[in-house]
Amino acid sequence: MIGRFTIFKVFLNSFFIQSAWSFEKMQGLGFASAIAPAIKDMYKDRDQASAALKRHMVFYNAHPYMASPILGAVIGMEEDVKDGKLDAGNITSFKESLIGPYGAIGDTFFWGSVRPIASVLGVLSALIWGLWGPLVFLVVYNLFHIWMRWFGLHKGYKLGEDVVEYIKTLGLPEQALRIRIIATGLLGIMVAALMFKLFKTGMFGIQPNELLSFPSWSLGTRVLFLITGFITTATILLSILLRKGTSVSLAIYLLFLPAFVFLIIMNMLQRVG
Amino acid sequence: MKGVVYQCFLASAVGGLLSLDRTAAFQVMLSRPLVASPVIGYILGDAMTGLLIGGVLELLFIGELPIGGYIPPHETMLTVVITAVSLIGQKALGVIDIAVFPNWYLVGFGSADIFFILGFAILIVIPMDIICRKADAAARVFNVRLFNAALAGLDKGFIKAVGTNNLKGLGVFFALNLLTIFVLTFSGVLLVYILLPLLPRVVVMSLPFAVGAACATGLSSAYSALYGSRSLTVFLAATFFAVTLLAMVIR
Repeated sequence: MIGRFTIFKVFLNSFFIQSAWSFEKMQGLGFASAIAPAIKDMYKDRDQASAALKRHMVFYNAHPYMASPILGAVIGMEEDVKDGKLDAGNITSFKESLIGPYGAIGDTFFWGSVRPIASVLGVLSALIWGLWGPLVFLVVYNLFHIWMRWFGLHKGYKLGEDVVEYIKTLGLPEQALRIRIIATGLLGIMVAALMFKLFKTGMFGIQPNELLSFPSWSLGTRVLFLITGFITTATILLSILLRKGTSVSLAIYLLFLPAFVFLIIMNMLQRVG
Repeated sequence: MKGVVYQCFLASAVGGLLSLDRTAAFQVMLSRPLVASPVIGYILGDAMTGLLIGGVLELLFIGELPIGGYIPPHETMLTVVITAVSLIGQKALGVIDIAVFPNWYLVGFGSADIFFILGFAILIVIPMDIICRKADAAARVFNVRLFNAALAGLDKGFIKAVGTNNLKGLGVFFALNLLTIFVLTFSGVLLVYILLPLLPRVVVMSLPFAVGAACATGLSSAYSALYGSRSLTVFLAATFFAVTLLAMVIR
């Protein structure tokens, strides 16, 4: 059994799993570097430790956070190899078999769901509380992130190859779908908060006190709903373009161009007038 | 001029460090626009403008996923360069006395001038992404040498070669990020300082619309990233429920 401090060192090293990311070997060096403290703890003989580390100096790539359960399981498997209970080839095949699935699960859950909801919450918080927004974003995101790094590593070490079943029971793809729906709702609330922020400044020529007569459908209330409707429609229509592959850079230019042309025409008309 | 170079270097050094968080180390999301931009804004003396820029860019790049070997737009470098060019450029240029909307400044995020320079910065910096991606790719090509060096070290029995070569990768990423951000920021500030005053009045007047275009694209990008079978219903219901509630409650 390796010590608790060694596991902690592996945990810290897991934050650097992509430090030397290369197109050829991807996270190969990072994975070997992360597991090195455990290997050094297991093998007191330098040659044996080198040989064990060389097993991990191969192509490897998965979602960086999802590497933690694999790291934990592999440490446990390395102990079995040392004790002669397992063939070293099993470690390689175990790692290879999880590259695709764990990459996909991590990308969907962390990049595709947790990060967007944290971003939307962060921007919404920034609209309400100013500079506290980035802090909200960091806290929300890292609750999930650190949880996977820490508990993933420990569960992996404890359960060995069975960690795959444990990760399956978490139902991360299903949770990802739920999180995305909540994030979409939060995005809607963010649009509403943005509208209010702009209205309260009097930017649309409506004074804030004109909104107070709701629900009597005063001019202010009608303008508020009209502009919100316009913004939501524009958001939905433009998102169709983005989903069809238009880059965000091109979309900015496409939106800017009509305003630019409009101003030039207005300027010319003014001169003629 | 000395001050401008110093500020560009300061922004690049901090930006280079923040960029490491993107893939090379930690990945605690300090590199995201919502965090990086206020940090750069703070060191350049205007954290709130940084927050405004960060919020817009965060939504803009929400859907870009670093899946497998795909290198998405380098949102950290772009954020640092856009924020630094806007803030350093604003100081270098002084006051722009053109009113697009008489009460534009009432948005409450900063002075009116920043919208002209920010619009200009967005338009000139966004295409620079190709340079940022090339720099990132160059580091990833170079890093295979570190892998080979670590392997050679292991052959000689140096176990520490694995850890040290892995950490050298941080140095490679940092050096390339710092250099790229510095060159792009300095070029951007020069363009603001030299080109912006030469632009016709009508062109300058249109620049704040680039900020509006970025905001609108940001909202769409976020919606697009979260798109699913029930998105439309949830989005519309949440927006109009929240607007109605806010109209009733906020006084």
